[in-house]
Amino acid sequence: MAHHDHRTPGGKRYWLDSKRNVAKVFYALIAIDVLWLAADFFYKKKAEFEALGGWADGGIGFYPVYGFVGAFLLVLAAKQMRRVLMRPEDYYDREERSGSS
Amino acid sequence: MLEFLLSPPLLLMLGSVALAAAPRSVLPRSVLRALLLALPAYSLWRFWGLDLGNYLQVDLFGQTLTLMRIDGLSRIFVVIFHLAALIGSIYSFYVKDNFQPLVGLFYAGSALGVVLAGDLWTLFLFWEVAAVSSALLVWVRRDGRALAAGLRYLGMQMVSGVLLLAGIVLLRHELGAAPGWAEFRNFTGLLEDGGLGFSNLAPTLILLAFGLKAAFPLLHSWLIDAYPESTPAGAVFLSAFTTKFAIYALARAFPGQSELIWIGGLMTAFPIFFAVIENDLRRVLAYSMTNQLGFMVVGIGIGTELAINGAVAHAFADILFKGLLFMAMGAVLYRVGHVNGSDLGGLYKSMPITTGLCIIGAASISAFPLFSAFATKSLIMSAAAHEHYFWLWLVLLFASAGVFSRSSPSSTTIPASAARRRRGRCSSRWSWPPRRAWRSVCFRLPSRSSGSRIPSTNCFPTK
Repeated sequence: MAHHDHRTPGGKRYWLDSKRNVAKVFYALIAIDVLWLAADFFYKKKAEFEALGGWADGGIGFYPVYGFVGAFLLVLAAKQMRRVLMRPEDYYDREERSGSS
Repeated sequence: MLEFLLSPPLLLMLGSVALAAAPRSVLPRSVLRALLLALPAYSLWRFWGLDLGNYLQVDLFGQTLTLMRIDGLSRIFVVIFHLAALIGSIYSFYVKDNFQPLVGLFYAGSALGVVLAGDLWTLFLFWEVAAVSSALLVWVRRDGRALAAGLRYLGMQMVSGVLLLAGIVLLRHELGAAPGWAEFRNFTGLLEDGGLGFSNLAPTLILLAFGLKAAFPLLHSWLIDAYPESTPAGAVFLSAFTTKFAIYALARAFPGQSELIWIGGLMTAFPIFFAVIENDLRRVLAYSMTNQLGFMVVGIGIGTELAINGAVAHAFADILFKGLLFMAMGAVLYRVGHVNGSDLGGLYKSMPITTGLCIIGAASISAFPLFSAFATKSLIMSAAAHEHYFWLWLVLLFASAGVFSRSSPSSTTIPASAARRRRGRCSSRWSWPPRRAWRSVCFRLPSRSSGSRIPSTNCFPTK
């Protein structure tokens, strides 16, 4: 999200240039999340899995919890993977140098 | 004869050659462009009127070749390939040079040939034509990087062709006659031992040939390497055909092949980690393409009616939303000169329409409710759940959620950082074959400036 309250060279201010509007978008997304979580209480799901006591695809709130944990672990894992996998941006453009990897 | 010429594959291929050969004085650009749209539109209209069945059979060297076999599976791919050809042609009107849409149409024609092929030899023929014509689409960028990437790409595509040929020859040797493509349905069952491996080499080789083009893990790096090196329009054409006709071929020949479930599961999960690290947004799209292909491969591996329908529907939807995302990134590349995520902040201000379209594409690929992949991924997920693949289901769910985090390039269009200084492309010296280039064939690694969000500008000497 925007941390910079900058103007374009033309000086025109856009709707998202204001931090307050960015906050509005943020809270609107949270509101949508809450609504979808609330929807879980109003219909019955047919559970296919017995694992987790049927919570996985039949319970309330599994998707947001799993999504959050998954995304969290993804970022943590990718951070560690950078050390091993990431190459400089010009890696594939460089001429061969002896002994470099 | 006329019937041959007017079949979808030949109509597009010969039509594009004829248009390319026609001198400019006879064919002004506006007429050429009209014809570029008319060709696939007419071809689709003609195809629409055909019933299911075999068409255009010829005897050649004692073999009966069936150039066109229409059934439910091939029909849906023919329709979406025509639409993709139309969309790609329109998109490529931004370039003055008409070579790109013409090659694109030719390539589309060869892809149609693959999905309409009624026997293995015809399949092989169009398989190879598609390989060469798609390499041309990488080369249309006409710089050293694209040339080198295109050569590596062509090399890998040829490997796929050779594997396919070896498989067909072996199969013919073992069975006494090459089986028609029609009997291909779960064709490992044709041989005594239904499993894959050295004891059953023919289907294993054919599976590898298909798998290479469907970007199986460790066979996928040509996709990450070459597609982002093409032009904006070239990438739109490329994203539609090769990988999808490989999915078609897998769905035709290996439905319910249990190995595909785990291969596909791996394909959905690992590109997400790479995509988070990668900075070139068209390369990020290429990773997310591997991820989406994984869903289709899983669907084919599960093999129930629901799963196959899901896989094919997802292929259909993927051609549309991935095309849209490549178009959006192509527009950014055209306008800004690069697509490095860390350098593209606040782009929504100068490209609001592209931003809107990009968000639509991102919502689709992330299976947001009311967008296409929400329905198609749900089919595959439900099939996995129905067959009680719990861990697979968890992986698919994770992959489905994770794709939004970075694979959806809308992150660029949200004002993330102040607009930074423009950077040109890295210097592109023609250096073939550097050993480093081969490394990218074997396993293309994500590249990004280390640590800071502000990219280092190593590719230019700093003052």
